[in-house]
Amino acid sequence: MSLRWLTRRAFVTRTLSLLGLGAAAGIKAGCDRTERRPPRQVPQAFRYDITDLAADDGGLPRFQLSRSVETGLLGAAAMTTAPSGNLAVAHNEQVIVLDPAGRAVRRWATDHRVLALHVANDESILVADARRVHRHNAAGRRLESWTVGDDRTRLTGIAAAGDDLFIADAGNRTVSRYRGGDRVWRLDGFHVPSPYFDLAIGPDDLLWVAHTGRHRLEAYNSTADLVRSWGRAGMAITGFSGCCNPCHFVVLGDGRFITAEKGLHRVKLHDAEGEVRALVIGAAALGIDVNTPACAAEQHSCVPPGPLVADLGDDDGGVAVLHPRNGGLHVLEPPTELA
Amino acid sequence: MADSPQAGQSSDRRGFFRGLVRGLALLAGGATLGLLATRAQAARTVWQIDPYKCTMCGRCAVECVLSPSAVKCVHSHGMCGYCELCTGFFEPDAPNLHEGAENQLCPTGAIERTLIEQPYFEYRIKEDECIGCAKCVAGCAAFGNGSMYLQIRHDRCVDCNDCAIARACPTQAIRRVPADQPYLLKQVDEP
Repeated sequence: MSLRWLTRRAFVTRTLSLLGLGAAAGIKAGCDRTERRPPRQVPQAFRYDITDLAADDGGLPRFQLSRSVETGLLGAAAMTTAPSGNLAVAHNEQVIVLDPAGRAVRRWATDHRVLALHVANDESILVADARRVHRHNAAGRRLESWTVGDDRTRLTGIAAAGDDLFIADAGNRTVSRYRGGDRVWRLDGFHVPSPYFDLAIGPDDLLWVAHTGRHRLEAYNSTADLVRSWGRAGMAITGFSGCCNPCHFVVLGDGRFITAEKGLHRVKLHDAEGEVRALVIGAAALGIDVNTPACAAEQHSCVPPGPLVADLGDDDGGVAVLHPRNGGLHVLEPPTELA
Repeated sequence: MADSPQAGQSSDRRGFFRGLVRGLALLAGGATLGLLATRAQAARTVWQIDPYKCTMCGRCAVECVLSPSAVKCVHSHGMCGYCELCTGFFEPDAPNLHEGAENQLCPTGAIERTLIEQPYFEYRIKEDECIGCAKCVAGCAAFGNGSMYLQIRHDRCVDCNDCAIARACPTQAIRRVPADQPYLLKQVDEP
C-alpha cells in the first residue's frame, strides 16, 4: 500500500513537472519566434532609389575640383562672397568669414539663428533671422536692427543694391523691397513648398527670385514687373528636380547663373538664357548619399538641405560650394571653354 | 498506539488531495497575477515608430505579423507644401503629372491627390490600402518637408510582446511609448 501511495504521488509530481517544463518551453519558443525567423526580403517595388538620377550628368562638361576642405559647418544656412574675396557663412547663431582656402579668419556670435546674409561693398554685413534684419560692421558689431513681416515670416533670402533692400519671406511667400526702413512694394503669389526661397540681383539690376514651386527663376524690374523667367521641372540635368528647386543660386557678373538643388544634390552652370552648360559638382563629389533621408542624416531638421553656392569672383571663374550636411567646402573651376 | 495502515492511508490520501488542491490554487493564482501583470504592462505602453530615426527601409511592410502591416503612412498637413509635383506621390521620372497609375510612386495606389486651387494639391493616405512600405515617405523626405512618415496604427496593432518590426528595425526606431500618448507626431521645424 505504501509503495502504491508513493507511486501515485511521484506520478502526479512528475506529471506536473513535465507540464511545467512544457509550458516554459512553449513560452520560450513563442518569445523566440521572430528571433529565429530569417529577415524577410523587402521587394524592390518598395524601394525609393534615385542614385542613377543623381549620377546622370547628361554628358555635359564638368567643373574641375581645385580643393576641398572640411569646415565642420554642419547645418550652415547661407553663404555669400564678400568684396574682399572671402566667404561669409551663416552657421547657427554665428557668422563665420572664411578665406578662399577655407580657413576661418573671423567669426562673431549673434543672439539669433542666422538664415540669410549679404555682404555690402563696404564689407558691412546684413544678416536675417526668422523675422528681423540686422546690419553689422565688418568686425561684427551690430549697427541697427529692424523687424519685418509677421508671425508667419521666415526670411530666407536677402540682397541689397544702393539704398534698396530686397527680402524673401518663405513663410508668407512674398518678396519685399525696402528703402530707408519703409516697404516700397511687395510681391505675392509665389509657390514656396519648403523653406528655400532665394533671391539675388543680377548685373542688369534685375531682381532674380527662385520661384521654387514653379521650378524656375524669375526676374523683376524696379517696379515689381515680371520681365523674364526660365526653368522647368525635371529630374534630368536640364530641369530642376523634386518638388521645389533651385534651393540656392547666384547670378554671375556676365549674367550666367549657378544653381543648386536639394534632393539630387547637384550644382549646375546655366547660360544667361537658362540653358544648362556644365555640371559644377554632383552628389557623389559632394560626398552625399542621395538615398539617406534627411532625418537620419541631420539631427536638427528633416528638411533636406541643399548645397550653398558662392561666386568667388576670381579670374579663374571659381565657384565655392558648401554642403550643410557634411560641412565640406569645395572650390571648383570651369573647364577652359566655359571660363 | 500505532496507526493502522488503513488510518495512515486515509490520512495520506486526504493530505495528498489537500496538497494537490492547494498547489493548483497557487498555480491558478500565480497565472492570474502573471496575466494581470502582463495586461497592466501592455496597457501602460505600446509600440511606436520614432519618425526622426526611421530610415524608410521598407521592413515594416514585410515583418509585421499582420497583413497588411499595422504600420501606415500618416501625413502632417501642417508641414506639407501642397506641392503640385509631390515627390511622395509621383515616381521620380513620372511621364506626366497626373493621377495615372504609371505616374504614381505608391505600389498600392494608397494616396489620394486632390486639387485645392492651382497650384496646390492635397494628399491623403487611404489607410486601408497603405501597406507601410515607406516608399512615399522616402520620396517626400528626399526632396520635400518630410510631412509623410510612418506610424503604428493602434486601431489594428495587436501589440505583440515581442514586436516583429521592432526586432527587424535596423535603427531601433521602434520603441515603447505611453499608451495614453501612443503616437510620435512630427512637429513643424522652428525657424
